[in-house]
Amino acid sequence: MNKGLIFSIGFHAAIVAVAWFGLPILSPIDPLDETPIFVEMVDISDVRNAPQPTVKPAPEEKPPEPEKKPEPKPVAKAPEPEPAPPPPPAPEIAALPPEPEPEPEPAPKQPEPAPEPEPEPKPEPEPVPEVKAEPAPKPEPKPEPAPAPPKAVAAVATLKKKPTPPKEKPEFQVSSLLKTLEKIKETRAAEPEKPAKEEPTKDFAASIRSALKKPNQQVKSDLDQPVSMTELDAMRRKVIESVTPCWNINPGAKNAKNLAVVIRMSMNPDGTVGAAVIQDQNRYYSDGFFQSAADAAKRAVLNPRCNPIKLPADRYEIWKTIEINFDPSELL
Amino acid sequence: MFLPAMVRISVFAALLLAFVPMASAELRVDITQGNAEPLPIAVTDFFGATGEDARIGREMAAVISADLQRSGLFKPIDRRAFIEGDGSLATLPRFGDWRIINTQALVQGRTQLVADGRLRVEFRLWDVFAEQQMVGLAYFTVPDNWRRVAHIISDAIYKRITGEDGYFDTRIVYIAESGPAQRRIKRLAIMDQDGANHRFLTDGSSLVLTPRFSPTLQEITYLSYHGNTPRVYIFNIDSGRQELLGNFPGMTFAPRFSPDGQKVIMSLAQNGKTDIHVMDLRTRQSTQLTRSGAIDTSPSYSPDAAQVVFNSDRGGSQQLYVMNGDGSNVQRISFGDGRYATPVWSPRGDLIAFTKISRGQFYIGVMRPDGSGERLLAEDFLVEAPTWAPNGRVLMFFRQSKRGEMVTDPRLYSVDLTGYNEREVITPVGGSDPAWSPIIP
Repeated sequence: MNKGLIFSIGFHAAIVAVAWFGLPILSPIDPLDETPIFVEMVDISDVRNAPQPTVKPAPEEKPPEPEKKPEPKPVAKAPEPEPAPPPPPAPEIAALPPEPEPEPEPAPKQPEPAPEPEPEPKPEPEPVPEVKAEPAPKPEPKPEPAPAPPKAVAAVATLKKKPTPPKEKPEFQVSSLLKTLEKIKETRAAEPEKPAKEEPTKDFAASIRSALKKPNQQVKSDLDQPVSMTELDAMRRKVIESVTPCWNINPGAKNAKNLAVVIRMSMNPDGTVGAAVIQDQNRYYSDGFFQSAADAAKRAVLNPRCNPIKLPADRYEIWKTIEINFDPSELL
Repeated sequence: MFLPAMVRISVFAALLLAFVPMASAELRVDITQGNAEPLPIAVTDFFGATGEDARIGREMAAVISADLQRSGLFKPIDRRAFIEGDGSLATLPRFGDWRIINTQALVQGRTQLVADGRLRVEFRLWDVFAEQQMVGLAYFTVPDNWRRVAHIISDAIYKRITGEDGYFDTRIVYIAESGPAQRRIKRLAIMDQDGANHRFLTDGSSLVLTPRFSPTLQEITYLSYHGNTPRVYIFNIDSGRQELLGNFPGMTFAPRFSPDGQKVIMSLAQNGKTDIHVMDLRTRQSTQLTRSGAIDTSPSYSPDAAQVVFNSDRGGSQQLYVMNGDGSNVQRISFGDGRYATPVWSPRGDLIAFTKISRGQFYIGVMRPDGSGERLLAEDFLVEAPTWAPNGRVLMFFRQSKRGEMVTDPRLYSVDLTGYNEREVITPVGGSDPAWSPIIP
């Protein structure tokens, strides 16, 4: 009897102790080492819709069918060239429109063909032009549901894959330079008061004027329109394509591995760089290697050969400030 | 009392709000691809008020321009393209004019003979795009010294733009070779790194080989067959005095100074074996570092003197080995195809240059001190004796090519670490065994 009581008390105490302190951890738990994969689902039609307001009224009217046709096409086609990863499907869809095969396949089937990266299955992609071909009878002529899934996949793919810009090297030819120079010298002699500096401002004024001539909704930058990864990616690629040819690295530098430089640029609406600021000012004034690397990066963005950067004017709010991370670690 | 506190708090809150960054959209971009093109730089003639000042200014600009061009990292722009002439430094450059001809960096200067007979030289380096001065310095010197000041200015420009020390204010010693192959005259010669101020240090009566600069003093150690016995000597450039180093029973060769200049490390051949010895120049005490029974030669210290790289045939073929400064912990580092010789540790410590012999061809190459990352920079019938510029970016060596059955005279060449910028170093006669000096103090 006593024994039972002792056992009972003992076990209860043990249970209370476990509840209080928790079970002992005998072996360390390995933390799950998984890097999260970010997937963004993007509705494509909401995004690539700069001329949207004019498109909307159109589908309701039946007569202007020919007009409509070209319109949806660019909507579907335009994104294609940008997401580079799956090249095989792209030419197919592009090649397909000419075939006006009347298949009774409705939209639901489309999600299936899209994710498949196989180039062979011809019949499957065909529905795409179909939907476009008969937008009139349907109340909603936009083929949103169909392209959306492939878009999301494509966007993710481009994100992962680093865009490698085409390595075009603008050549610096002394002979041609000298020639143009004589012209410049002549004009200088004719009107010695005109400094070269005025040119950019002139350009700027001209661009403003031309921008003002455009319809209102184009100039107005609308932040309320969502920005898709695809669109951001396209802008990024534009920046990379523009600036890369002017970025001169220092080959053979000893500690090139940790010489990444961040430059923050305030952009003018015409795509020229208003100001470029080196971010790590402390290091700039204390580390000679960083100083020279930072100056080289700054020269890249200020080089008139590599700017203005042609970014969509209606998205100025997005690229008003651009931050570029110049990282030479993969090169050396 | 209560109200002021409220006011203070609200002011504080307002200040805080003022510093909250505007929530603005922003595009972030990574750029990981770049180019390795020389930087377009314009070096204007240094401004001089009098004819003599202007002449010196013109020649200085030419020397600076040539220095920068030879480095391969700069592309001096033809002065005929200049829109703006030599600025007197009194006014800002017209940056727009320089941008038009694609100038990214601009050098302007001024020379002036002052009352006490000295020459005052001033220069400024401008960033043309940012429209900012990058560096500006002034020097006083005797007028005859203008060439050296030009090299010092080149070094300052090089350092500001690449981040690394320059190597233009340096000298080269080498073996000047002249005469027919059977009775070759080999003289020790010295010149500036650009070939100027050339002079012979020895008369050629005894054979000299493998000269090496002292890292701190203006001294050279080399091998000479004085009295038909090869021995290591030390030569003082300033006094012209030659001194036998140590009194060893056998022959000593392949000498090289330690980084502090206090010791000379070399090979001693004795009883059919060649081992590495180090001699303290102050006490004249020597220490034997290797005892392999094989041929251990061409020792070279790491910049911190903690390690020594040398070549040895102890493993059957000639390969590179690294050991501690006291001779312990010997490790083979070269495992490539062929034989390896004449290793030289970079002054910057990150690489070892060497000569490689593989399938009848000679190569100049570099590898990391652990033997990884081998890269070959030059190749020919004979390329040998690499020596580092003091900043560890450029190598000099000598080359002999084969034209049919004829072998050309040896010539000096320089090549940078990328391997793209190879140039001949012009010498009055044939040259071999170059040795690059440290920066002249």
